[in-house]
Amino acid sequence: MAILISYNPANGEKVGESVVSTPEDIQKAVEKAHAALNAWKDTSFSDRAAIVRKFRKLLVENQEKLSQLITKEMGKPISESREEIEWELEFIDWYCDNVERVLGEKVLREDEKTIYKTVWEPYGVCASIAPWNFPVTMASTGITAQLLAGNTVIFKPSEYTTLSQKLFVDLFNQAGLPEGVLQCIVGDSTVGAALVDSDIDLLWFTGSTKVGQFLYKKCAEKFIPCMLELGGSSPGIVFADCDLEKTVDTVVNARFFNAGQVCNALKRLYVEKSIFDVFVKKLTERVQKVKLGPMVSEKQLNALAGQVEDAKKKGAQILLGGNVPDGKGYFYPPTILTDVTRSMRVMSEETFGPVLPVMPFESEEEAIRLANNTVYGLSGLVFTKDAARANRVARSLKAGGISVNMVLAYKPFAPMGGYKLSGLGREYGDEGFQDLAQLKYICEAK
Amino acid sequence: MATIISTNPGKNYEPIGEMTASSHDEVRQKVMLAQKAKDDWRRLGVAKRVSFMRNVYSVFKKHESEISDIITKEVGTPITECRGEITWDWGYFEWFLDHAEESLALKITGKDNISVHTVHFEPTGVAAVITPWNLPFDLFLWGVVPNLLAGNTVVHKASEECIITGKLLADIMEETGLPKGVFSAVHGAGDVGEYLVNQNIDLIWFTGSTEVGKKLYRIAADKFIKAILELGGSNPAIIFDDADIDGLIENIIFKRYGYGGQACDADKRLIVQKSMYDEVVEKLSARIKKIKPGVPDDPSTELGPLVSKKQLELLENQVDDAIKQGATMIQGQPVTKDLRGAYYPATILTNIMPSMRVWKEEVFGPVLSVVSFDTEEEAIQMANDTVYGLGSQVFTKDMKKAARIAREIQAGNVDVNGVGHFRPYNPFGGYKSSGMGREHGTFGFQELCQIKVISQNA
Repeated sequence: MAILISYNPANGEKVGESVVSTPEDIQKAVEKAHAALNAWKDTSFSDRAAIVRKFRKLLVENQEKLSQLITKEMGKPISESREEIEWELEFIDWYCDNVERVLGEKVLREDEKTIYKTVWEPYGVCASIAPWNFPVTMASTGITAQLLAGNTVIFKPSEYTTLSQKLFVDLFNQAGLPEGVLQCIVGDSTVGAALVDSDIDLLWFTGSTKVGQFLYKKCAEKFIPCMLELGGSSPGIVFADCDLEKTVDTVVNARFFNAGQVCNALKRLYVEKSIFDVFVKKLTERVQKVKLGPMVSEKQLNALAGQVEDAKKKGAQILLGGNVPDGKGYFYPPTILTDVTRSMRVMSEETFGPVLPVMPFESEEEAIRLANNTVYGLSGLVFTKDAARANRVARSLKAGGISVNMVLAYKPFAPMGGYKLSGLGREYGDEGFQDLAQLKYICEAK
Repeated sequence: MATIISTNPGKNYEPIGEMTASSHDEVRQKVMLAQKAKDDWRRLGVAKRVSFMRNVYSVFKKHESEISDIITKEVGTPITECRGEITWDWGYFEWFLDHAEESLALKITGKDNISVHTVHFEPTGVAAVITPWNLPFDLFLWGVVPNLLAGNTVVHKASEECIITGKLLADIMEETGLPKGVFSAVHGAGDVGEYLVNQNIDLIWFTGSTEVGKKLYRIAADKFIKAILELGGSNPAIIFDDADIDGLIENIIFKRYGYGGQACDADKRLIVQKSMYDEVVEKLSARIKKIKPGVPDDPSTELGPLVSKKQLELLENQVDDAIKQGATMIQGQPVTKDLRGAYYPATILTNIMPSMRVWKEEVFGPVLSVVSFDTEEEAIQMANDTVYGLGSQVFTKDMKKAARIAREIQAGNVDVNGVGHFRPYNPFGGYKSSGMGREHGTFGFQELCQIKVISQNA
């Protein structure tokens, strides 16, 4: 029996362990999920929502327990763990309040003889594979909307947050879901791949672009749809006419929140030349005050350190941070780099940690070109007081979410997802629900 | 360089013209042109693209009879049917023009004291649009027009079975004055299509067989781009014993024998409640005897040839297999000696077994398989006993039952009591192996786009 051990990234101590699912376990789970499908599909939106609301209550009751576990298992500050659950409640409410409006029967047109209408029906068994960076949010995004849409779900937690996400699933099942509607299997990416190879009808995945590309190919072999939210290297463009103080604060928040381990975090900053020096000075002062938790794992820490070493070797200037500190845990300091070029890995790859390269630009055109010079297209930020320019730049950035003079607002009503290699499909909002269901058109003679 | 000779399936396969297949260089160059053109085309905005496309519409209208003549010659669609199809197509074109703006308009998703959030539907980029031969003009319009309106640039390839028609449509596009690179055409067989989708394109839009569609989905996955696929179907039509039998016979005739049965969304399996089975078979058998076969260019012809010898042989093999396994055949007017080409008579098969190819595979010709059922449950099970899930029909006067069946059928479209779903405002597309994504309607426009959310301070 293979065992997966969870460690605390702040001190390396063991948090707990879980039994890894075998191929037989996966097979059985898929069979159960199929068996549960018809009854779940026939359950009304309001009955499904009633169970989700019961779960919401359990989540509130267990908020402290779950927050403590998250902080132990992945290292985010306890206040942020609590906040994450707080935040997710708004999403759960929105899902419950809106699922019927979005996926319910809609009359397209009606005349004296005929009614034309659409319904959204579940695909069937959904395999949901979640990442570790927001254990509750990501588990909920992979489970709650799918269940409300009428799919049954087999969920695989990240191997870095198995205990937290398993607890999440347990709470859901305590709310009275029928047997087989939501199940959890445990393991690393090999278990995930085996799950995707089994008899599923839909894949939901949030994680790295590399794995996402691999999974899309698997889905193509099976001819099933997939929803993929993948990596990003979101640019921020700061024009000279921005509100300097506010922009500095926003940039710090957009890059260093969750120790920089966010898919749509700001990862490359472009600042107009005329304010470059003063902006970078203010930014550096401000970032010095930032306090961070550890990286989730040694692997992530080493990847990040390697990217910064590469930049140093190629001539980047380190204004702040840039070295792995001594001592316990997988900590990395907030880091600011200048004199960066496109040939450096910090500019061409996704950096999943508190590292911000900053580069000057002269014209709006150049800024857009630099910002779009990436394989990713998740989000982008623009800072300027000129509304016409903000709109121009927002439309020119090749990315699925743009924020103007603010951080990208994560809202249940706003669809999120990527252009280019950052993903396929959308989550949240009406589009997020619709991507989890298939559209059936029914016309009836009166 | 490969030369493709096009033949007339209704006149003993006599050659009607030939085309040199596009070279790799030519395909690459057209994709490059489309890439170059895409930013300007996107920036024009929907309203200006609509006015460009209104001009395309009027240019095409001038060529109406030329288009129907060539289709009749090359594909074998009877001329009256073909003209009917084109008239019907203008309705789609007009709807696309009139509704592109509202379908792609930005929408506010949320608003509070400090922020406002909007969704923008932005074009995906260069679309490779590959269309089949069965309704060559119709599917050309469905593929090309919404893509161009949505702001994608298009490189189009028509099936090699309608390559001369494809060339004519491309030549007409040349007259429309679209900016260079916004629309280009390449010509050839499947190898040219495969080469095309492996170039630097951003979206695959394909209507055709499930086999090719699955291959294209794998290519899309390798490239990490989106594919919109409208593929094969084996539509069930369920008839309950309380249905209005006289009303439905004409509907079934149209839905199975129209276009020589060569439609993805045709009724291919008729599932009839036992107490009514004999009567339905009898009435259908009498009715198919009235269907008039003939050469495609005769305006009185109701059933023309299939598109090619290959399709004819496939159909013959499927029927042979059924007969060998015990099916009974009823046929309409025979193919007389003067009809030389890919002709096949209107046919009904009974005593069908699930192991027969006509039940399991898509039947692309004028052959209808009829089975009987006892209970509602059995009917649903039979209807869903297929890898396909495109369209379906239910006939019953019991509207509660109709609603139940409509929800249980695994298909993208359900017609109750013979109301045809083909309207430009209705999303069209398949469950299971019948496709990915939807076309037509607001959904169809939005599928061609990428969603961008812009969040800003209120």
